[in-house]
Amino acid sequence: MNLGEIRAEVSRRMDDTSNVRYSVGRIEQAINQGQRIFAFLTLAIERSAAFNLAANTVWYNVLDTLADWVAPLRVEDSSSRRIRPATIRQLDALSRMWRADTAATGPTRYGMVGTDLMFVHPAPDGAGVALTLKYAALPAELTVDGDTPEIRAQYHISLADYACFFLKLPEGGQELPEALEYWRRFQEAVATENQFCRDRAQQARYDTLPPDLEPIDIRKLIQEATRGPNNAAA
Amino acid sequence: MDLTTPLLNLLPSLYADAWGSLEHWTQAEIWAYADEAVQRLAREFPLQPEVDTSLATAAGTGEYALPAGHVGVIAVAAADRALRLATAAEMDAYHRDWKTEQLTPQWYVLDTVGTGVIRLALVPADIEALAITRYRLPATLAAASPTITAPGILQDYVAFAVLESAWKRQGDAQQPEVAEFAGQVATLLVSAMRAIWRG
Repeated sequence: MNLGEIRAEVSRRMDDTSNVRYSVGRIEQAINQGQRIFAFLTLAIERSAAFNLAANTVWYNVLDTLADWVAPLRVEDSSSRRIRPATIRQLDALSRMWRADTAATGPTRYGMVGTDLMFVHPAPDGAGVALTLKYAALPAELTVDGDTPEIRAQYHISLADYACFFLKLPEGGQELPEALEYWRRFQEAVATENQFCRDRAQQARYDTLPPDLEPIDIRKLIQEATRGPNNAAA
Repeated sequence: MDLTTPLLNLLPSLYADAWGSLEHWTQAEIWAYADEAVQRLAREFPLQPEVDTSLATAAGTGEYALPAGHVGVIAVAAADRALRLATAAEMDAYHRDWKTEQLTPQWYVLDTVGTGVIRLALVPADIEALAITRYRLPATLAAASPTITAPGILQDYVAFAVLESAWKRQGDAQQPEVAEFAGQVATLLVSAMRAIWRG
């Protein structure tokens, strides 16, 4: 499905094919939001990019270069050899002066702190050294009718579920159960793809796995949200 | 990331099509909800990690105030030399005069007085550049300062956090059950962020 088709599906479900109550822009924003959340909870979108290192530099903020960055999956040096992740504590144990180490060939280890602070060891001692970062990414915005979501085709319809949920949520009251039903369908798709991506990431020995969604009971979220004022289920 | 457009896109969910037509909230309130959500998030994990190099040791001075907006220390190095974390009790057991004897520092202590001070052990005898890998609170978000460096998913977390705060607020637009669910979606996103970025 493309953006135009998903939007038409949403308008049909909302009984608003003339886009009077729910504007085209509002529906498209909800579809894009749904794709971002889907991609983030599953780490389903993978991209590869060259990342240039600076001489004698250990620390890098990856978001300054890769605006769609989420997390590293696999890092390779310029000879396509895999570079393994390490923690700061591990490098401290290796050598207390690891921050000052340099090598002509560049790093053999890398690590992440928080959202985007990357460190490498040893730092390259000259310019022209680059890593290949394979990373989990957020999708590009869908802007024209022909744009196709980057998540797998069988889940494109889930973006219509999400959009319906997000558009109906503010109406509350008697509309809330219908909104939550769309959310439940979206979350089921997320859970299925999340499990697929986790299995795939484990097989590929990726450095970051998709988050484990099992402990989060989506059904309980929905039940709690639909309880009445006296804690009775709606 | 500029949060101006994401918050503007949120207005239809708040029954308005422009900031001027918001009936139950003000623009300042919505931005305050967004800022509060981001500040809360920044305490959960390194949302904006950095290596702070603003401090340098001075000979004879063991205690230094941590930089503004400090949340947590991840690692400390002096002149590229990794320092080990220790507690005041451990240093007391190791060396009676750890607060006065001058030598090359090998440890850093964070529990000598309050939470805004770092103490080096032993006391520095020379000037060395300190590199504190840390996470900090981001700058306050407002209509006049709407940008923050963070992954794109932040805008979606902020959207649900703002909706939760707005619908929870006492008044004609209060919708507690909808606010509760918006909050749960924000919590779901935070759980995922924690799993991916806390390490």
